[in-house]
Amino acid sequence: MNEKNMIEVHNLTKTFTAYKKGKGLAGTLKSLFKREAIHIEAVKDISFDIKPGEIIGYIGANGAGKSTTIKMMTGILNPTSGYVKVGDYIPYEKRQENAKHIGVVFGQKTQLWWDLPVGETFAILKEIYQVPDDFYASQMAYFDEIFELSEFMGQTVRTLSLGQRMRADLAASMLHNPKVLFLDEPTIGLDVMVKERIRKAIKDMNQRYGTTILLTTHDMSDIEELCHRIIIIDKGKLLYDGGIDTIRKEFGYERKIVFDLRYDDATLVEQTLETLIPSVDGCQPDNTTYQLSEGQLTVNFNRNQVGVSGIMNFVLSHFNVLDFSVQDMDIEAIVKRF
Amino acid sequence: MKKLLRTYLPFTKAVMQGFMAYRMNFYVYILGELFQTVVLIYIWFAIFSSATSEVIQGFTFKQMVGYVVMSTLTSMLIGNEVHWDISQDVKSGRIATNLIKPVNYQLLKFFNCIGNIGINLTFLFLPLWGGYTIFDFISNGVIPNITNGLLYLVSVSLSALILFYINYLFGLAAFFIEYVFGFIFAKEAILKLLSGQLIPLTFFPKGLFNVFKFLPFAGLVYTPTMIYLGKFSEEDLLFNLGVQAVWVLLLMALTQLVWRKAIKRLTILGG
Ligand SMILES: Nc1ncnc2c1ncn2[C@@H]1O[C@H](COP(=O)(O)OP(=O)(O)OP(=O)(O)O)[C@@H](O)[C@H]1O
Ligand SMILES: [Mg+2]
Repeated sequence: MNEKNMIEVHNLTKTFTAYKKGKGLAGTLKSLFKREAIHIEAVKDISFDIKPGEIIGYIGANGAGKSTTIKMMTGILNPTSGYVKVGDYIPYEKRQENAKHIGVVFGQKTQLWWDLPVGETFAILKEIYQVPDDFYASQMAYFDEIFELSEFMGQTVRTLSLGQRMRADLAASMLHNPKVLFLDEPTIGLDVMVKERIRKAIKDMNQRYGTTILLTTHDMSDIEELCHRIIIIDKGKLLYDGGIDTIRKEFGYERKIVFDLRYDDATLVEQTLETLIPSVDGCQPDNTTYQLSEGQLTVNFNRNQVGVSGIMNFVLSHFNVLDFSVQDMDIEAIVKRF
Repeated sequence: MKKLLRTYLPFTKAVMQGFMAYRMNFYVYILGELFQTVVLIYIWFAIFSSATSEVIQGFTFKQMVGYVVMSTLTSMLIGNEVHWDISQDVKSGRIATNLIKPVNYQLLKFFNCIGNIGINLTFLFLPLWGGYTIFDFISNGVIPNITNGLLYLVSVSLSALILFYINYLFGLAAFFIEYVFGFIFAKEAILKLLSGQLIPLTFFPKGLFNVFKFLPFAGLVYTPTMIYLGKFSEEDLLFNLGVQAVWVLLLMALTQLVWRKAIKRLTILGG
């Protein structure tokens, strides 16, 4: 494989400046004259390199700085210091040039023109990215097969459901066979079926064309299925950059059980829960945590040290359980352990 | 050229299709404009009946009616929504859509603007102008002058460009200030006066008129209307068309400059 890096990120820092709004009338008046600046360090001194053809999971809790990093890579945000290079370009200096070679999905917000029909959107994208006729035809046939686009081809983007919109956005980002795909939460709010299709498309693109892909998600199974390498950031700082295996070894035994409970008195439940760690075999404060909110009890524990049955027995015998599910530990919990 | 049209014409079509959904708003707004026109004609009627001479500032009453009608039609024809659209794009963050793609935002908005003008032409200008011309022929025996009509087309095209650029600039203001609404409303009021939509610019005191005729606003309504009515001498005609053309070029350059500043600001502050 080419030794040249596809993406280089060096000491990347972004500090936002916001202004405090004064409280009340006096405060508002005061802030008209003297505004108090607050500096938000969204990204702090982050460095990493990405090789062509890698699929990277870029993960972190809400507000960690993931989207901010991607915005700098797509050229719509200037770094405060440090630099980013994507392919041959510094994105924020050559935004238009860079744009020709990348595909972008921001799951939170469509990147398609709001009031155009989906069909016309693709016709326009074909023109602006100068996609050859035969490649366009084969891409559209593929997208139609995997995303079932024809179902809503005639609708305007504004009227699409979340899942349809995300399928359209993803197809649009891949149409011109970009060298790099930036996917910021491409599976947010989707059902399992659609998630599965999207993962398959991402894998296909990578295998067929060697597309380099940077992906953010809060869904651990996206990472498990797609990425060999993950980069974890928290509060703007780089926490981990390496193989998924190391993480799996360290946290692979972490499990989470979520119970739906019915109860009248939350404090009574809390009191009973305090006896969970002392009374279940193997439970220690450092391998078991729980939290209760709005009828949901979440217990995180290490499967190697604590038996699932012990926890199940305790909860089932002390509370009225309506439902429960056992899950792998989620990304937020992993980040907290670092 | 063909590629350009294939890329951007859908943005014109989208505006025209969107119009079907909002046409009631459109007609209510137009009703207000027409009411204003009737009031204006009535005021001129009162002025002319109490005046000592038949001609005021070179206008007879009939010519003045012609001015009021054609200036209203002209301003209806060139109107666009570009300023509102841009400020929406900026506020909602949807502007990013256009920044992560190799697409020309100004061209895109220009083709939106053509959509606005297409609607104005088909649903307003042509029917109202036709009605007025027939009425003028039946009651006054007036047949429109072909040369003036063609020159009007040239001039009104420049007007449309000038208004596009002005509105584009006001739209870009959303990058710099939080409340563009006030600005845009102030702009509309000032335009009404300085473009000659309310009264011919020649009615202003000489000193003011000599300033106003050099401003881009005169080129919006006053110039094409006077051309249509054949009220310009050859010299005036060339001068006023020249002023329009120069402003088109100046505004074109200015929009590039402001766009660059706006993007710079956006990429530093964050959307
Ligand atoms: N334009 C802005 N002005 C001020 N602060 C901002 C701006 N954009 C982002 N921030 C702040 O920067 C931090 C990082 O935000 P960012 O959107 O990058 O997080 P994220 O990792 O994508 O989170 P999420 O998982 O919730 O999408 C947050 O504290 C956010 O409030
Ligand atoms: Mg984000």
